Amino acid sequence: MAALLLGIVVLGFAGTIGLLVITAERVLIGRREEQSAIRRLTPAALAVVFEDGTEFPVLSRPDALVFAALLGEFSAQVQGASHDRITQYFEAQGHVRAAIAELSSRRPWRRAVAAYALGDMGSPASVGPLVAALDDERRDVRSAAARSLGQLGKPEAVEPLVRALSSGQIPRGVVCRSVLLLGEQAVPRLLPLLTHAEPEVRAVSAELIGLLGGAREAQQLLARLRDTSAAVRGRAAIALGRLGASDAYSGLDGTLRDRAPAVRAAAAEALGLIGNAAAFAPLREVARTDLFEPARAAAYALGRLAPDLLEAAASEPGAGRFLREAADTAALRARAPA
Amino acid sequence: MSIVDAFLIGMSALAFVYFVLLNSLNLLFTAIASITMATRVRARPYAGEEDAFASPITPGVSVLVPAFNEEVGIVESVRSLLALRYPRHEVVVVNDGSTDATMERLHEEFDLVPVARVLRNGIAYAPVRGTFLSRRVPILCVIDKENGGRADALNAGVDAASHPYVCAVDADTLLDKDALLQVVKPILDDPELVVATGGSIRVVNGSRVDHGFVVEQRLPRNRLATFQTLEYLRAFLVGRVGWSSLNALPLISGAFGVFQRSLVEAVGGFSTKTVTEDLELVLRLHRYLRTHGQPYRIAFVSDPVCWTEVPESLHSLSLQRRRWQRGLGESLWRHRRMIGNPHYGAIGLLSLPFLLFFEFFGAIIELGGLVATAAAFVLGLLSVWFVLLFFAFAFLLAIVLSVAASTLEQFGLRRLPEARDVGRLLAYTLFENFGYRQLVTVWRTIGYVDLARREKSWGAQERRGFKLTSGSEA
Repeated sequence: MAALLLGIVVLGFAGTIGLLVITAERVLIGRREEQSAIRRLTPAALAVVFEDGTEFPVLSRPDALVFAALLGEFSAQVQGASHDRITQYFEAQGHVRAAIAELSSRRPWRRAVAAYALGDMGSPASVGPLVAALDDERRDVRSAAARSLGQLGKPEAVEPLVRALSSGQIPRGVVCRSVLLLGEQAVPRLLPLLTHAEPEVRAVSAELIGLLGGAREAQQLLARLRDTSAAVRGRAAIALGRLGASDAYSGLDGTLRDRAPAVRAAAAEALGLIGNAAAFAPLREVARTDLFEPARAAAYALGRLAPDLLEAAASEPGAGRFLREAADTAALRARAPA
Repeated sequence: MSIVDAFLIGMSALAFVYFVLLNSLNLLFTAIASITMATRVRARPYAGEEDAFASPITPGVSVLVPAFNEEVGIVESVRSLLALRYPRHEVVVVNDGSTDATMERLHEEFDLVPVARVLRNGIAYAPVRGTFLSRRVPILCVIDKENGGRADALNAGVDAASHPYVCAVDADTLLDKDALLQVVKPILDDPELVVATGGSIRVVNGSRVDHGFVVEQRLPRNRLATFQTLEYLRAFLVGRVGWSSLNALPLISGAFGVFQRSLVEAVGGFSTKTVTEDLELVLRLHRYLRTHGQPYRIAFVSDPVCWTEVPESLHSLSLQRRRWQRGLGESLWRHRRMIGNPHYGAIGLLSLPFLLFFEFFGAIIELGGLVATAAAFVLGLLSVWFVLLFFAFAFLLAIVLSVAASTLEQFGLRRLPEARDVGRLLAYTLFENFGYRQLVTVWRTIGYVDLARREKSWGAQERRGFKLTSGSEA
């Protein structure tokens, strides 16, 4: 009896191992075939992207999938006529229609793959279905849809994406990247979020405006320098620096005395970016006397603002260690081989 | 029944229960890992790593490299870290009082210039002798300090880091070019929740290295290193994935982990009082965040790979395993209040009891059970069929678990492209049960003695270094 049991155990395990090994082997073979197809189809894909009037190749289903994946990869790297040719291919071959249909698949991963692929296909027809996918029950699908809407860059996507930013339904990092892809057109919808009830929403909105906006947004950002949240004040300061808003000097000068060290550091960095010579003295003072983060930021900001004066400022009595570090680093970079 | 008989039977029974529980958990984790891996493979097309790379809001990362007597491989290692594909990163090498030519190698290769970098002094560490920047590479900083151990060097690195996230790596490791971007991805997607992430560690011995990057993974020729390859696959592709999916990851390997810098500072940095500072830090992070009621996630990502050189001699391997056992004991003792404590959620109720029962006491239970079962058999207390069945079941299940981990690797990552290497690895799933596992158990048991003697040293470590020429073997 025991021998029989032992035999069954051995056979059972041997069968399981065999199954696992065969599975691994199948995967191995599948991957090799895919690699081979990629090598074979890349020239044809490049021809579709770069050569006007190229006829679309007739492919078997597995090859068509590899071809679509190749074009999808190229899509994110090209613009204009090349991008339009890729979109034409996907529309003509029915990939756009199929992917939109896949957004209703019962399997979440299929919906997510389709949502992501639609962004690379670039078809305006997919905007509506993708907006609807922002409310999908699965986070992966919502994230993929958000990314694709950003990629498509259509005005209709601005409102739902900015709404997603404040709802928290999609990880904020993902939505921020999508909104950045939308570009300047998102700014008017971001401005109202500067007064949103949630500090994190106000903070990321300020950051995005700093990356997408222009000097005309400086006034709204300046108001955020008096926000109750240090995170918002800090990001607003950085945003003002990025915008190069020269009229922000007085506000940022005051922010150098903010109670939060991180905000003072942000203000110092911003003043360095704006490049107003009047900021030299207050920055030098912060570099000499403040805590680590603001003092260091101020010292490096001085290097940006007035590189010629940095060494002299660092050599003054009581200049402190931060100015010395910034001056030595600047000198090193100046002497560095190109 | 005499007392000896009762003890032998009792010990055999304990080993049996231990074995059933451990393997049931391992099977469960294998199932979880299979599902997670399948999900990851399907998610790859929409992972969006390129978007993260191109985004201006991707936060900077300071890669910290503690180095003690690493003259053989430090240059190659730093070169590979400098060439990582990440939009904003710096490399901070901390020379921890090396007595060899580590600093000279760095000076020669990177043209270092003394620059008095101001340090935060937020965490304690041994005195710094000097700070240097490279004339050739703007993103390289070298801190030269007195010897204080790996944790101490990491603390100096954290203190000198410019970016909001720090990535701790070993000086004898190599990262894949996209590894940093991949391991940071969960943080980029959800920076408010994810505070730390870790990636997979793989064995580099035997693989082809070109300009600081592993271009082709091969199995090591050395048998001990091959056994460790299997162990690493099981640990990273099954164990870590399983714990991470329960949000109860107790360990991010010190060889490759990313942490929020401010949080590391808040918990006092890496502990210099233990030899497994990576485990200790992660447990402290869990404790701190749970105590403060802060929602968080510590994530493991299986795709990004860090390649490490593993010991090829019995002596070095024994020292490493004894050190791990000792460090585990120290960390468990330090965090004993968390064990079984519902206040700490899954980490208190699942991970720590697992570490205590299976990882820490596992060695003595396994060894005791093995000896007791053999003795009980010799004394005629157990039937030959029971013993045969028990060992057959134990070995075969162990083989299934190893084969499953290897299959997961093939399915999910496929870093081992050669069919003959896959075959050899599968053969080793059989051999490791006859001698290797028992040897490791003996070393872990000696670790108890080291712990009782309050041994503090790391023991000498051998370094072969990565050869520099194209197509060479590591």
